[in-house]
Amino acid sequence: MAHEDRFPKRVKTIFIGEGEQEIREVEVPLRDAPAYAKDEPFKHIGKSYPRLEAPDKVTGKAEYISDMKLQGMLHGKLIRSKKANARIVNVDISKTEAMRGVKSVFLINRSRSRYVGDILGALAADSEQAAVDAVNAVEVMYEELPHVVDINEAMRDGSPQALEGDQNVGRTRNTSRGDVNTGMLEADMVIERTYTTQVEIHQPLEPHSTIAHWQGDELVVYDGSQTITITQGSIVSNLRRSFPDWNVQENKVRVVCHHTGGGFGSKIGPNNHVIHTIRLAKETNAPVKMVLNRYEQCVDAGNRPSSIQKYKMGLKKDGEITALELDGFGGGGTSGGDNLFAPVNDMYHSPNMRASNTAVYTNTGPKKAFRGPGHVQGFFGFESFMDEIAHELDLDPVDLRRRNYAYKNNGGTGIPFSSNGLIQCYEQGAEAIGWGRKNKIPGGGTGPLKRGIGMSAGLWAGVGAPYALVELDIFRDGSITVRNATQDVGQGTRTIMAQVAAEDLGLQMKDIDIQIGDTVHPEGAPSFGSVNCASMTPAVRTAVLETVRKLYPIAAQKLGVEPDALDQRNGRIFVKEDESKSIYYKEAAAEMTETKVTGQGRRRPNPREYAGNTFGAHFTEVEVNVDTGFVRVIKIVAAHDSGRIINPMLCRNQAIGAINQSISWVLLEDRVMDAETGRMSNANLYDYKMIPAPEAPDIDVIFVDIVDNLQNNVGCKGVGEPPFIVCSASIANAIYNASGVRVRELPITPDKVLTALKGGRA
Amino acid sequence: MPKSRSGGNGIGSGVSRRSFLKGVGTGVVSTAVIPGISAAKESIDSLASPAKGVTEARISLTVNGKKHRVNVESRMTLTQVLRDELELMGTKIGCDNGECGCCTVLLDGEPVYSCLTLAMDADGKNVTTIEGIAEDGKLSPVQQAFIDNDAYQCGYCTPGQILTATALLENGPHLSKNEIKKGMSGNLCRCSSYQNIFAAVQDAARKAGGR
Repeated sequence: MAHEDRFPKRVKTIFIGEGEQEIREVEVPLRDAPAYAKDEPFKHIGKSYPRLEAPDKVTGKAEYISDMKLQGMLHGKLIRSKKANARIVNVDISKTEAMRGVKSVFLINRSRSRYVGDILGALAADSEQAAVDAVNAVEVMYEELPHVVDINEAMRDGSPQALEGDQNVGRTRNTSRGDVNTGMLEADMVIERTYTTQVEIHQPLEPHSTIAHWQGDELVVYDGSQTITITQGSIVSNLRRSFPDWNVQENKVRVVCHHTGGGFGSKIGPNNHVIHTIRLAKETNAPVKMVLNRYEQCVDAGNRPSSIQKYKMGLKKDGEITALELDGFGGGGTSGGDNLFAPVNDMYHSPNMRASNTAVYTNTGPKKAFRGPGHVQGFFGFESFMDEIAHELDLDPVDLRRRNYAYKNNGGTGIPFSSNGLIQCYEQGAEAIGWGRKNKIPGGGTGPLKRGIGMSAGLWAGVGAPYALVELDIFRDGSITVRNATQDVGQGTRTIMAQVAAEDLGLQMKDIDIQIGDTVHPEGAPSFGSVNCASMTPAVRTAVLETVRKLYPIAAQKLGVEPDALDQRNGRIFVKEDESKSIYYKEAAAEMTETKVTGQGRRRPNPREYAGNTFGAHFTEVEVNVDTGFVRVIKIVAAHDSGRIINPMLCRNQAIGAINQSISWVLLEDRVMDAETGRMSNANLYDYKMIPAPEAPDIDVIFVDIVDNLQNNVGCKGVGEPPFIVCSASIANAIYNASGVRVRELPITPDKVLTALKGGRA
Repeated sequence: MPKSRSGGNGIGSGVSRRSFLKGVGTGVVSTAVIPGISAAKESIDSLASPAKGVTEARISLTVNGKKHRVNVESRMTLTQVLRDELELMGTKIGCDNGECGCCTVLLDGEPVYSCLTLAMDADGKNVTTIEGIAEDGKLSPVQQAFIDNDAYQCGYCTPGQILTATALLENGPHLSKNEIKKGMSGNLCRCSSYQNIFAAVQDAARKAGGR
């Protein structure tokens, strides 16, 4: 009998988290679940099941971190600076420490406040009101310095210096391929345009909420999080570095989160307040809960940086791109901007390309990855640019894009895509909106209400990433538990994991117990980068494979063969040579000596020879009131390639949510900074305008029929970010088609439309 | 159409902004020790010094059909009573400023922002929270419609949405899509599942015999 003595290999895998490439060493699983057949008679995959946690969410039973109460719990608050740029001369906490109810106060070693809201320290008190009062009693002496809160101001000669030891215009990153100078010379025409986008605040409705609880040397952190696995690892390394005498051990730190009330990137943790909460809990020897208020969410919970994008393109008369240049600038407060390279790097065939991306610093809160970071900004600018070019060349916008279709990544010069449904997106989207209905002459029509149609395209990464190790238990009575330290922030992670497990085990949804949200389980995928589905569901399949395999010795005895003569499908264990000889896994499980058997499954590394991307094209109809400048979105057709769709209802919800956010960003949202005081003027949910119910238009989501078996054993890709990335320019392009004017600066508010209509710069 | 919507004062009937401000006095930051209150009121015991204008009262309110008597400070909101005193955590805090709708409850049948409703103004009134929508464990038509139409993602705004939708439909199920959109406009959803929320409300309306 062949005795298995193989060990898995470890290889480097490349993956894209939030727009940046990362490399990790990962194990290659010894076995992987086989790809589903083309005509697989699915029982569960492809069905629009309601979410497993639906009853909890509609009855108020779903518990969020701020709903939790622990015995003896204290309330933590952060002490924050009130100055935009200042040396911290002295922080007097004597009054605070003396207040009844205050249990612990500490200051962090900060000599400079870099923005209004910068953290100076933290305290814990026995009630929330006492904590608020205690913070108000802190007296800070500042030596104020001149500040700058606007990216354009920061770039001016003579502007105040925002950060100590750094020029405002900071590091520039460059990339290029081919020879743009030659490419420009080959062009029949060269076109230049500049686009600007504004800072956006995530504004999840659930504020950042954390509870830290020490019991001896064991720490449990309850954190409203998008990344409990990453958060746990970061907490361990942070505590070891900051408090070496605590002797923190990895096996004694646990992060728990069963429901997160939205994140969109802001809850990629641990956030700064988490470590402070942990310290307060240690110093008071009591559980400490810290919940940020809406003001703090606005000024110091991260943001999408602003951008200035200067494009230059050389083209032939027939629309072929000969050269492409971008000079980008990004303003993310103390942290510079996002990477704006994606559209010029990957989207269209362009062998000659040069791009630069420069950080600009201001005295405002630092950035944090926000749904499609860099790509949302870049594709707004670039896809508006493509629309302007199409008009200059008198070409249909779809035809211009098809003319420059990239068959490989890196502008056609790299490796082929594992799957690419962009052409289907163009075709199906154009048909569904009635692309022929658009105005032949932009702005044609009598008004004052003028309608028009515009389109845009885009791509994102959104295939899987490491951190997906699923454990599956088969109990003696055949019941199933699937365990993993991922989290569900509203995408429906639990449900799609159950669908895949039920499919592969030949069970019903109600037979699958999904346990996530606790790092007591093994490594879970983050809820960012649109990577979760393509990370988790293949790992669930492999876990089913490996765990059922552990029943082969029992099954082999019952079937009178050797274990290596067996295989499995949908929970049935059969003899390879004679499939009629088989038993269902439950029959083998019933004869286990132990109560349960546990197996582990992980996803295989990403294929090196293929680029993994998601694609989309949107077609948008708007109505512009040329008397008032108001823009109303009438309808959007959103066509996407997201690979195999496990649950169409959940995927569609992701798409409409992302599209509504795109409309909100294009037309409404703006973080307004007051130049004189350096404060945010609209740090609340009334003045920071977000799309409300009446503005949400009809949206038609089409998922084109693509399955990507090269990427993973499910054939799926991601969907959370692509619709936001693709949508934004289609709105601006529709406004152009409707009104004849182009607005290149976000948000496209009525005043900008009116200025443009009157012939002014917009 | 329900009275209390975004932009309304949401404070509850019988109290105007003027009388509210007069009652609070000169607006000194609140710290108060009120003798005679039980030690369980930790927030009172922890306060450092007496404050002007903060008074206490014992109110009586019916929440989800059950009568409660609660000691409240004049500055407490109905949200604080529900979450901190009555341990009903289904009502959420998104902004604590009357701007998002997460804290929506029904006060005598009308949707209000509980974060802008003073606890004292709920005295003698009926409050319905998300915990009171299902009857004997059976989901209401609105709750079921939210499930059938996937009218949520993270679920944080969902209790508020369901309360508003419930009140909206009680005022008449024959609502157009635009009337539904306007009626729900006081409840933000950042995950932005709006189209599914409309579909859920329409679905529930249809099943209740509406259009």
